Amino acid sequence: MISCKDITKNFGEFHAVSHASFLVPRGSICALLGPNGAGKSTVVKILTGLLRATSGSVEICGTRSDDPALKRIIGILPESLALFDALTVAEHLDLTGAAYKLEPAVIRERTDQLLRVLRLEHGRSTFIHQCSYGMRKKTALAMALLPNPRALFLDEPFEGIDPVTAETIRMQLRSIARRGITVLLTSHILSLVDRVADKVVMINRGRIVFDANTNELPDTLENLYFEMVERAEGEELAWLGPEASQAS
Amino acid sequence: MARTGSITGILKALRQASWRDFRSLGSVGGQNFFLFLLLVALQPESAQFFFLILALILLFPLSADPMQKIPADRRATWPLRKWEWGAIRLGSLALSPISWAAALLIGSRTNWSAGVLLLGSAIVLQLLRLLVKSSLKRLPEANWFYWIPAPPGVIGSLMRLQWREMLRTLDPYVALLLVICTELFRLSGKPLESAALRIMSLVVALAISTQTQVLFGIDGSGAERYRQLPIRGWQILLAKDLAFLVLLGLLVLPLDLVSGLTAGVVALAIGHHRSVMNVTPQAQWRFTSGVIFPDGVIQSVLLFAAGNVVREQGLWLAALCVFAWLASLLFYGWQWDRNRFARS
Repeated sequence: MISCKDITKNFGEFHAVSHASFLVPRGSICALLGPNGAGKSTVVKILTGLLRATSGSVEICGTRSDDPALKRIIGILPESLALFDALTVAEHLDLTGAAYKLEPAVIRERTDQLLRVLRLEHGRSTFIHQCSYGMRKKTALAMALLPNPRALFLDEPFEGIDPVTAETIRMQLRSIARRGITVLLTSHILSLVDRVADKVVMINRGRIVFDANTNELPDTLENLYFEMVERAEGEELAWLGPEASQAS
Repeated sequence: MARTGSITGILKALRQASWRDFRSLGSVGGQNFFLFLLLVALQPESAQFFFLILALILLFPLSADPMQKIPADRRATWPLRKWEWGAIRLGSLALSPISWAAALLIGSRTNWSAGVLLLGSAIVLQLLRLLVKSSLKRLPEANWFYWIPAPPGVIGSLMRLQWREMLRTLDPYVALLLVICTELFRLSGKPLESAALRIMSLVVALAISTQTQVLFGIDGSGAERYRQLPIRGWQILLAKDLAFLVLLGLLVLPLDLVSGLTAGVVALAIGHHRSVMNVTPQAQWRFTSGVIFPDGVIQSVLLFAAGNVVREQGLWLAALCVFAWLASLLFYGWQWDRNRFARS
């Protein structure tokens, strides 16, 4: 379970997150939605113990976020991916396995399987600086899954990867949640979120503006997002010339 | 008019990128080795050799083709004619620092052969670089970094990472060139003072000692990963330190191992403070840049002092240096754990 109670994070005068509270039950998938700069990544960093909240409290599967033991029970796909240019794809997984004190045979077995599932086998010996963005994202995702965590925090897992892998990840996340692992993800791809999440939390300018289970949504997720978070602005670029119908 | 506008526009962008690149070479100013060069410059005849070593290493980044700053894919999308690209290519040559230096030397007439040699070396280096790049594209396993082994466990995995990162900076290559030159001198049969090997071993340690001030800076964006993995600060520092000492040990092995390693542990004991308390990002294929005052000065003085007298003073001094290093490792490892929260 992920419990976030009244957290606030200020950077000087700037309120990145204001009094955010929500709960993600064990074995469910929660999507944290919001525009760029809304505070999603800050919330994820606070939940994963990478950033100290100005006030409020956080518990992940019964462990407080300031407890160093938290690292052993969570898996993170960070916004920056946090990968080393000087390591290959497979070496990143070796390092993760060793850090979590997994047996070498277990690391090898899980690495092979993760690379196969994420369609990353061809790149196992490729250095990260030579990988495409999609390959890097899959590597960071594989690192989050390898230690078999009790809670997963995925910052934009579907962005920048091919549709087949996105669908594979969606299926894997559903399977992971069925095994009792709690997942919190952020995304801008509402069509995928609609199909993967059990719960949706929307954040705008650091404040939670919507929190509901996906089976109780009063409207489509897209409509709700535009209503609760922000509307698309349709300014015309007149210098592109007249529209085809006007031109004719 | 619009046609020449696109040429000057692209050349202007190239000039800005080249200037930024050139300025990044200023990182040498934050090097302990640079501090050493300033000192030996007081005795110009001794300084020549060390300046030549530095110039040889700097020739690699300086000879980079300015046109490479425009990605090939981007170049292909721009609607420019062949003659326009030809003009840009010619103009770009004037943006290379090697072209200026070669032009000056050739223009001076007395040193025209040095100018031609410089230009020729830059072209050969570029061709070699292109050859290596295209071979690595076809066969990634041919990259020698790939074959750097990892000792067992998480410490071993981190050591391999650190070796590769250290070898992506210019510092170890200055050190390697110093060792090669010393060995060639020995092989030539010319007389060598008894203290020379010890001094060279300390200069080699000094040449890579700035790395100890930026142990996390050379990790790039990967440094954030340490905060996400269940690894203690002292473990990370131990892995990085051992990687540094093994590399230093290999370099000073033919010179004076004991003096070199003593200097290495002293450099680490002092460098931990800057590495942990003030992580400064470093660029690849440049000199690592630390802080000269006071860290670099203290490091240089103490590593020379300890390394110079360790053989005379015996084991107690070596043990004292190792003790200081271990104490620093544990203290700054604890500091790392305390400051585990990211700054943003």
